[in-house]
Amino acid sequence: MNLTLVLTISVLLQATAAILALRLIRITRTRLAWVLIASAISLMTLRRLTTLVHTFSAAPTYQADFNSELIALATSLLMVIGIALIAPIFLSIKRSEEALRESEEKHRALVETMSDGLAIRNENGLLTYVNDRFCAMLGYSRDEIIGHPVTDFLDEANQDILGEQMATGTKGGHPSYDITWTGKGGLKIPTIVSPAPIRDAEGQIKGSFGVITDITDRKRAEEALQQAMAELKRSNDELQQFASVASHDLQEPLRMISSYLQLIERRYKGKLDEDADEFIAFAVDGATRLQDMINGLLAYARVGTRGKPFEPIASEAVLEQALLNLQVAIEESGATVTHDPLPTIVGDAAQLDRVFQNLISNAIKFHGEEPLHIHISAKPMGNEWVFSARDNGLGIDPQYQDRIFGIFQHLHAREEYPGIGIGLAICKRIVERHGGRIWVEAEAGGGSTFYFTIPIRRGER
Amino acid sequence: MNDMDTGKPIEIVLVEDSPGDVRLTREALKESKVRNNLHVAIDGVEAMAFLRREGKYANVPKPDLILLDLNLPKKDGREVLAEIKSDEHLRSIPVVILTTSQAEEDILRTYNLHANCYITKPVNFDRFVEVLRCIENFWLTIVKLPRTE
Repeated sequence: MNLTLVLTISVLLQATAAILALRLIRITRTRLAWVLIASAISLMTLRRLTTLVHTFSAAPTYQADFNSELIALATSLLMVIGIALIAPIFLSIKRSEEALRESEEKHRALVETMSDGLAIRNENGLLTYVNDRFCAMLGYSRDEIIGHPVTDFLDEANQDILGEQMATGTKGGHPSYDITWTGKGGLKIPTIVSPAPIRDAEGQIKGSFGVITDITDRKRAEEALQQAMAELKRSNDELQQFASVASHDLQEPLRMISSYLQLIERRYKGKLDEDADEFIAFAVDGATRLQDMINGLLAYARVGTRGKPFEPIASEAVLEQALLNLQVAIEESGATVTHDPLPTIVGDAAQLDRVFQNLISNAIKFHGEEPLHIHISAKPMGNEWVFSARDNGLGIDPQYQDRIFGIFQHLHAREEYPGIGIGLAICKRIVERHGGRIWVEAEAGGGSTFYFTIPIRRGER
Repeated sequence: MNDMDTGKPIEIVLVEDSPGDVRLTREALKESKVRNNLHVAIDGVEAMAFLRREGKYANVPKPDLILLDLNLPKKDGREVLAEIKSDEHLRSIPVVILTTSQAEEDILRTYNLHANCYITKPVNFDRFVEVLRCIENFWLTIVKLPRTE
């Protein structure tokens, strides 16, 4: 083999190695070691090229040795192979670095833009990392926080909370806990901290990080809600008290008026003139009605204040009791009252009795031409009992079907059907206290059916 | 019952602060068939002084019946009732509670204190007369029982 050919191949191989090495400089991010290697290879290529040029010029100053050149060829070949083999390693290092950088950037962006605070604490309790949100929460700059112990930002009571949490944390559990930070200017920031330990390769805890949620707004909303509820309760209590006191205290003077009017009527009826008798009768009637209305209002108010706790009650027994109380009225009106088997419900027996009595006496009051028949039944529908009281009485014009449950509502002239119009309002209030609804439907062919619901409570049947 | 007209009148103590009610009771008792003397105490303290015959009440008769209003100034009707029922000399006198309060808790508390009867003051004078008549009948039943003194 001729010397020139060997030299030419060496030069080409070394040039390839040099180009590869030079290109790898960028991939190794200009690492000094590789820059030197690449430079050395480039210089060696230059040296081989010089030798080649010299063999052409056949200058006597240099005599190339064929054997040495063969070794140089082998070296060049090894160099190219070596560089070709090391290149993927460098490339993969570069790729992982890029991937790591990307992932870090992603995480950093995540951590910095998250709406919760994040803080990392080392094993000595010093803060090593905090995100912007945490800084904003406390009102300090990052520099004022990093390197400081966590306890610098907690008052004594909350330092104790942290201490307790760290004690339970080392036992394995990492539940979230409430803690209040002390920010710049003594600002208190209530938060919930979700902690997690940071372990080294051996599994030793070497710090922890915590996600910190600012619950100032939640606390404020809770307080506002509590305040509003307290306010509502207070105004409700006041209203109840007002209703009760007003009706109670109004009774006294009213009793005086009506009692003395009656005394006058008793002693002087027929002794004055006819007009006087009529005037007194009107006055007595007015006073009596006012008394009834006040008693009605009082009964209405008592649905809320004097209600008994709910307990299982046999509604059939309650109905029997109601019928017993109404026995005279039922007999006088010639009505028949029938009922299906009725369920056990959870409620206030005295109030249910009131509902039955009011509905039945209402039906008796508004009976029609035919003999009155009232039928009471109940059936389960979804998660409630639907009670119904059907009658064949006068019926109620659909346009008034809502109005009749209002306080002091009459659909008829008072002379026709006496009453103050509070019975159904009381029924409505009682049913609503039980979590149910009440309504009335007209029956085809006259009469009406009152429905009310009572929720079926858990533990029933 | 007309034989009662000739007998000793019933001594009734009315413990009541409202002049209107006092007069009304007096008027209703006027219509009574039973002869009666009505004594009035306008508050709880005075009522107890009367019952224990203290001071100016040293010479008053021992009442046969007490009509007691629950809502009284100074010492209220419940306290008066408790004191009467814990006093062995007064314990045997029938007490009828007269009040406007229909509240169940009042009724219960009063029964726990052993009132003999509880009557809601009726708004209606006719009914008031009836109520007092009932009380008289009630008293007449009581006097048939052996007297404790």
